Amino acid sequence: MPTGGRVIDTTEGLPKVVRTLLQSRTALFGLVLSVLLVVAAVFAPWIAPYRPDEIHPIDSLMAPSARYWLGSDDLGRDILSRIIFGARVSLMVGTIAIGIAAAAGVSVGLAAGFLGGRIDGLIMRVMDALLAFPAILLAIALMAVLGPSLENAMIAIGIISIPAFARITRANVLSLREQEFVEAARALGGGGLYLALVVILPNCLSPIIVQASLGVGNAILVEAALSFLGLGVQPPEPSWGSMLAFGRSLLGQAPWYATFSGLAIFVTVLALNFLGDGLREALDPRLRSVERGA
Amino acid sequence: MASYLVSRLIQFALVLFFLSIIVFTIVRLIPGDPAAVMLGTEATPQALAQIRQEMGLDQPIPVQYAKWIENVLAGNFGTSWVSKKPALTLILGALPVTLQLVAASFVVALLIAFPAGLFSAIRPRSWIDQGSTTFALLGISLPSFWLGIMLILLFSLELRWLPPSGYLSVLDDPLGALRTSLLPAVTLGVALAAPLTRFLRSGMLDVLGLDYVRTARAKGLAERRVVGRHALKNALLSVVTILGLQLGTLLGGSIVIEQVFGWPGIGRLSLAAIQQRDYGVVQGIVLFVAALFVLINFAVDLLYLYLDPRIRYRAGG
Repeated sequence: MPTGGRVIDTTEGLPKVVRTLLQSRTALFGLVLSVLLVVAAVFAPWIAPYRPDEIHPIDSLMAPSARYWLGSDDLGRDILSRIIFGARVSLMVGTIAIGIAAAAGVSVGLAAGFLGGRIDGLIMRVMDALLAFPAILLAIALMAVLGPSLENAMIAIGIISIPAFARITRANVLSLREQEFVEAARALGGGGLYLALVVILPNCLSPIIVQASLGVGNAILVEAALSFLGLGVQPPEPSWGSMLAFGRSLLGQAPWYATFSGLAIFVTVLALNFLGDGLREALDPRLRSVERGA
Repeated sequence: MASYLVSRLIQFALVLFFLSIIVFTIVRLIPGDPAAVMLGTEATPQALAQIRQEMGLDQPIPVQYAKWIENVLAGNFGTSWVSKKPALTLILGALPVTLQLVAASFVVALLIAFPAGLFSAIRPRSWIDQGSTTFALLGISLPSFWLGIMLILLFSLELRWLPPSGYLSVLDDPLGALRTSLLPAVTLGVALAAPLTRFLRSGMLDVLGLDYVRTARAKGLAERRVVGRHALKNALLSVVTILGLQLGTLLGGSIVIEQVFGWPGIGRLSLAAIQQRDYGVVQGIVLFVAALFVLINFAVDLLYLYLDPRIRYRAGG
């Protein structure tokens, strides 16, 4: 069996990557916050003071207090509890949408870069056409086709995120394809599929991981925007975007509603971007020097 | 040079072709019969058949596509199934509103990003640098629609300085337009300023480290002249690219921001069209905006040719 895939073993560098990641204060902040968010989302029923749909009519639009830490909405539902349960929606949409995008984008980019020629041209022109749409506009158009729901938001956001993965994968495959270790694996009798999946793909993983970590934050922003416009997750399911839209209509009476639901989106995306930036620096020191203009 | 332009034109045409297929496919995939949407649930089968025939929906899909492209090329982007007006008329009616928002946001973004990016590159690791880097990081994570709502809360509801919503055309009432445009422009401008600051800073840092800048300094040129005349011009290349690419983000962002501030632009039009299931207009808007975006990026490519002689030489060679 050819052994080309063992030339760069990412597992050997893992402790170094983790060490570099933990050395950056912002990346550490992002990592801790992301872990806390995941814990809050997973254990929401045990952490949240109330059920997200628990109505207390006499406590309608209460300001933040000891009873309702972040206040209550027009139906007397606890905003903190809805934000905690909303984390489930946001993180689920973010990870599944980016999972869809990564699976499709990496496959397409790998095929384009490895096969080259007309297939490459055709695939990349389609990707260019997809990139030609302002992302939110394409997501809105897709939601019009699919109908507003949690699952469809994941699919729509997944589709609009495909080109980024395809381009990154293709660019890396193009540069790796001609490298000696790939030539060696080919000379040892490695077939096309083996070369693409076992030899080349593992060496493209770093930028794909970075793109995924930054993509989750962006996917959460797009989901929030779709839900804000009434095209994403539908009430009574707690979604930060739809909470923010409702908070906008109650801005005069209950400013805390919009403030805290938007803050939840901001802090989550910030944490994921910090983590993504840290990962980029940890996985690719060359990028760090370019970014800093060194 | 000519061959470069031709190859870019071919690429441009190909992207537009695939883009049209994507738009056509999306609209054809929308569940439900457009004729039934137009006529309502009480429509007779004869009326439905007649409308389908009028709309060309009884034709094979490739024929429908060819007919649609023929119409688009003739300037007919489709008809609103609700108001019966041409989609292009509706789009061109809403376009000045969106363009005013995008233009004002551009100005705000440049006013923030230029000083922030320049000073942080000239004084790396200073407090200005750290401040602008933090701003850039926070800015790209900030949901613009939330920022807009928070600005309304502060400047309209608390301080009562600016109106919370409403649109005035800059052509009809420049002062009034300034007041109504300020909050939306800052909201969207911050979203653009954040990546722009990063690019300007790293572009300037790259250029300031190059030999020709060192030579300019060694010649005894004043630092202001070195930065302003020599370095900035080259650093602008990266900014032009990011501006072109970010225009799509601005156009997309304006859809949400128009909703926050109640501006009757392309964003409001597209949302209303989706809510009313007026897919003739949805199709027109998506194609129009995407084509506009592709066209702008093509123009950026040409601007690039002008700004960077190296590309001209490579293209010519």
